[in-house]
Order: sequence, then C-alpha cells, then structure tokens
Amino acid sequence: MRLGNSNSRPTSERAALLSVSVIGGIISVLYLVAVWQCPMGTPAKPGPGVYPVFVAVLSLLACLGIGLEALSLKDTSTQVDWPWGGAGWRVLQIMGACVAYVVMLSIAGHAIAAAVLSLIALQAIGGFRWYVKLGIAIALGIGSQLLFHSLLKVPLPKGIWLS
Amino acid sequence: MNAIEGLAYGFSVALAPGNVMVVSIGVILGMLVGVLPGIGVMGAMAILLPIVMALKLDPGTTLIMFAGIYYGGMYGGTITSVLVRVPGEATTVVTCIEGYELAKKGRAGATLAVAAVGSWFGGTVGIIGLIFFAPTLARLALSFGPPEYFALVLLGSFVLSRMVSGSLWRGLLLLSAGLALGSIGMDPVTGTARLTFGWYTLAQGFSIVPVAMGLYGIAEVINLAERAGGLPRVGKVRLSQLFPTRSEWHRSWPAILRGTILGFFWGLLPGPSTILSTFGSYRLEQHLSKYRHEFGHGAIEGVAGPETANNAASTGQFIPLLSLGLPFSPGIAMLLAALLVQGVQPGPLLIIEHPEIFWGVIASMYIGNVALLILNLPLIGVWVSVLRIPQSLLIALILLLCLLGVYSINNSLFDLVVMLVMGMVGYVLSKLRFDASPLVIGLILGPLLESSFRESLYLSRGDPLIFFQRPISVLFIGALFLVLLIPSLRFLISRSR
Repeated sequence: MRLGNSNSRPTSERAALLSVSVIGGIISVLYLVAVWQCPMGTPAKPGPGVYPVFVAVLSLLACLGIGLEALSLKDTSTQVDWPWGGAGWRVLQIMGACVAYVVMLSIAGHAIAAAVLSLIALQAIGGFRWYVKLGIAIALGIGSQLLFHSLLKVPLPKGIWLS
Repeated sequence: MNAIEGLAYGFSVALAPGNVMVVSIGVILGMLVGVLPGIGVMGAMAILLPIVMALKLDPGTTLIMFAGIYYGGMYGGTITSVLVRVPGEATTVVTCIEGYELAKKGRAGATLAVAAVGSWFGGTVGIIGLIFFAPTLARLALSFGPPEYFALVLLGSFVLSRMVSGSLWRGLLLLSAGLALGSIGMDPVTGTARLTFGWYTLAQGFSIVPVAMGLYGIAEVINLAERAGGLPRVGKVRLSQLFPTRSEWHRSWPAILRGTILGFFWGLLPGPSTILSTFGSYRLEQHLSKYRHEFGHGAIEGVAGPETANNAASTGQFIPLLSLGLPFSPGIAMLLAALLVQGVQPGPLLIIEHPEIFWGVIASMYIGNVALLILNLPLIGVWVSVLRIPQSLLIALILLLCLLGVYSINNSLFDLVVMLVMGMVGYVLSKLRFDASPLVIGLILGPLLESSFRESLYLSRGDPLIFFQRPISVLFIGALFLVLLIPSLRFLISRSR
C-alpha cells in the first residue's frame, strides 16, 4: 500500500467504493421515502410518483452493486489519492473563493466579489508578487463587470452600497 | 425537399455573412477554451453555453455558433494532449500517448497538422453521411411512438452509462442520480410540483447548465488547482515545423481513411461512440501498422486514425440529435440543452418545422470544419501562448467565466449554488474515477424517458406488455438486455475456467 506523499493521502479504493455505496444507499432510501408521498395514480393513468419509484429502486440496486464490487476488490488493489498538505490547502482555497463570491455577490456587488475571488485564486496558486496579484484582481473585477454588464447587457448586482 | 435541395438551402443560410462570422468565432472560442489543460470539449461547451445565451442570438445562429464551439473545443483538447500530455477527456487519451511522444521528438507541429487534416476529412465525410442519413432517420422516426422512444432512450442511457464508466453499477448509480435530479420540479405530464417541499425555487427544477458547468468546469478547475505547477513546460511550435514529411503523410492517409469509416458508423450507434471509435481506431492501427514497435513511443498513425475517427463519430452523433432529438454523448447533450433553452425541440419534426435550422446546422458544420482547418494551423502560436498563461491567472479567469456565465442565464443565486455543489461532487467523482457523463445524460433525458413511459401506459390502458408488442421497441429492449447480460455472462464464464 502506498503511503502517499506530502500532497496526498491515499485510501483504498475498496473503502472509497464502500463509502459511496453506503452514502448512495442512504440518499436513495430518503429519495424513495420522499417520492412515496407523491400520488401513484392507476396503472392506466400512472401518477407523478411512479417513475421516481423506479429511479429510486434503480439507484438502490446500483448502490448494492457497487458495494458488492467493492467487497470483491482486494484491499490494496488500487488507491484513491485525496489532496493533503499544500494541494489540499489549494483545493480548500479555491472552493472558499467560490463560496466567498456567492456570499458577497448580493452584498458587495459583482465587481468587488469578482476581485476578491480572483485575489484568493491568485494567492492560492501563487506565482506573482502581492501588488501584481492585487492589480490583476482589481482588473479582473472591473473588466468582467464591463464585459458582461456594459457589453453583453447582463444585469449584475451592484451591491448594497451602490444600489 | 430532397437532400441536395436541403443542403443548398442550408448553405444559403450558413453562408450568410453573419453566420460565417458566427461559426468562425465559435471555432476560435471553442479552441481558446478547449485548449486550457483538462478542460476539453465538454468543459468548453459548458463554460461557453451561458455566454452564448447572453448574446441573445436567434436559435439557428446560436446552434451554428455552438457547432463551431464543439469542433473548436475538440481540437483544442487535441492541442493540449499533444503539447502537455493532459487529455481534455477520454477521446484524447490515445492522442496523449502518441502525440506527446511525437512532440518530444520535435514533431509537435506535424502531429497537430495531421490531426487537423484528419479531423477535417473525417468530419467532411461524416457530414456527407449526415446529409443522407439524417432525413431518412427522421422519416423513420415519425413512425416511433412513446413505447419506441422509451425503449430507445433507455437503451442509449444504459449503453452510455455502461461504456463510459467501465463498471455497470457506477454508470447506473450516476444515471439514476441524473434521473432523480431531473424528477425534481414540475411533473412533465401533469405539470404539478413534485419533490419541491414547498420551495418555489425548486419548482423550476435543476437546469442542465449549472449542473454541467459544475461537473466539468468547476471540478476541473479544482483539479487544476490541486496539481498546480504540475504541467510540463510548453516549447515553441514554429510555422515551419507544421508540415509533415512525405513519410508521415504516407503513413497517415490510410489511417485517416480507416478512421473515417470506423468513426462514422460508430457515430450512428447509441452510446459513447466517440470514445469507442477512438480506441477502436487505435487498436486497428496498432494491429495493421508496419511500425508496431513505435506505438507507445510516437507513431503518427496512432494520432491520425483516432483523431479522424473521433471527428467522424462526433459528426455521426448529430444524426440522432437532429432526427430523433436524442443525444448519445455529453457534448451532443449540451447542444441539445442549447436548443431546448432556445425553445427549439429537435426530433423528426425539426426538418419539417424548422428546415432552416436543420439544414443550416448541417451546412455550418461543414463551414466550421473548414474554418477549423484554416484557422487553427496558422494560429498555432496563439493556442500555444494560451498554454503559457500562468496557471493562477487561468484558474481565476475560468472561475469568473463559469460563475458569470451561470449567473447570466437566470440571474439566480440558486444556480450558482447548484454549480458549486456539483463542482465539488464532480471533483470527488473524478478522484473516485467515476465518469460524470451518465449524470448529465440522465438529467437531460429523464423527462423524455418519463413522459414516454407514462404515455405508453396511457395508450395501453395500463398494460406494460405494450413495450414487447411493438417490433422496434422489442428490438431496442432486446439490445438492452444483451448490453446488460453479456458482461455478466463473460464474468461468470471466466470465473468458471
């Protein structure tokens, strides 16, 4: 079994697939419970609940199949590398940048939200001095506002201060 | 109108000055985005779809631009595969193997030229086939009823899920996830709200655009961020290096011809025909080549054949899209999404109700194919420059494009949230080596599958045997059973030995 490196942590594919099977199974059961509340109609006039029940059963079968597939694997056959260390931190930063954009969009407006997103993304990957990153982030914020709002006429939020 | 008259009409639409410019812009945009490492044609279409929508062009012009983006995106993925060994998607994996080895020998330009010419040839022959097959299939499809559509969509969905995922169960899980997502919102038959939990936003359902952009755009950006700095340096490709030698042409042309035939007929079948034709062509060339020892170390046939087959199959896939309204690959599914957003329903009636769209798209595909050949080789320096853009800047740009693009469709924060959630799901799926295509196909085809299923039961007054009483439906269901049972039988036979 590989131990991974400073940028990754491996888990066995078997464990990963078993997790998928269990989580998928739980979600499928919840989906089945939810669709069971929908009207089923009659065989001649099936209601909105019929088709989703088939989908839920298909999903449960698939989860079972994946579980069996996972159990048939040898424990150390192949591994799944999850990001760790520097790589993990970059992944979190990019996800965080996207979340920050969505949260800030209505409050601060697109230009500022886009500049913050760009700054976090540039900081996460690196490669520029801080003032260059700041300059690029501001340029991307203003440039994207001009391109989409002014040129393509896409209405973009201005934020609570400019509204 | 017959095929020739239709094509003439199509060219009259496609050669309008505005449309020629539109398809050329589409090709350039497709290449600019498709060349970004890891993005490929799906990512290019997902990222560009909302931007094209924001231009508010008429449906025919929108689809013409998308056809250009589709071709451009495919070739953009080829460039990345050859120069930095990063496949945009499964169809460019073999190009990564052979193309990158050729690039290391200083033959990157010649390889890209062979790929471009092969793609053009395969696409051109594919379009000729499309001209004659599509109207015929559309006429045949007029006799399809709900049971036939249900069986065909079921067959296509299962075949695609089985083939792309490698494992039947993985494909089925994602297919059912897509079908489940598609069931949330308004019931397609009665129009009542279903699984919305009283939340008005959910009544709109899940749009394909944020889901696809999340799975293919955001997920890939996260992957890029994870391996930041891990891409090889890209060397210069000079115009003078673009010309293959006589020996390289001599080896490439037979592969191009074989790839064209293989790719086009694969493209007619439901399922991931581009992937199958690409790998099939690679195996064929490996088998037939006098230079077998070069495969894996830079064999030009290993690029010429698969690239041609890929483009021919991609063109062949337009046939079920335009004549049946059914996409059998994620890229074509995005084109269907573009049409549906414009209020145009492809299918057997498209050629009757909107001949300008049907024939205009076919003619534009040919123009797009020519534009690809003319534009991409002289501009190779531009595409290579794109690859040299610092990765941090690329990531910021792609993120902005994705977020703005999705927001521009409905001005909806919910769409942004969906995209981000699907981005994280897509990233986890990529780590687990699950292909997200069945999820996208399930989301798009789910409503059609459900409505044809329920309409079939209405017709038969509740008798499920209706699916086994109509010959075409029986044919499709029989094929479905074969697809499901053959792998299991092979497994049991191999275990018993």
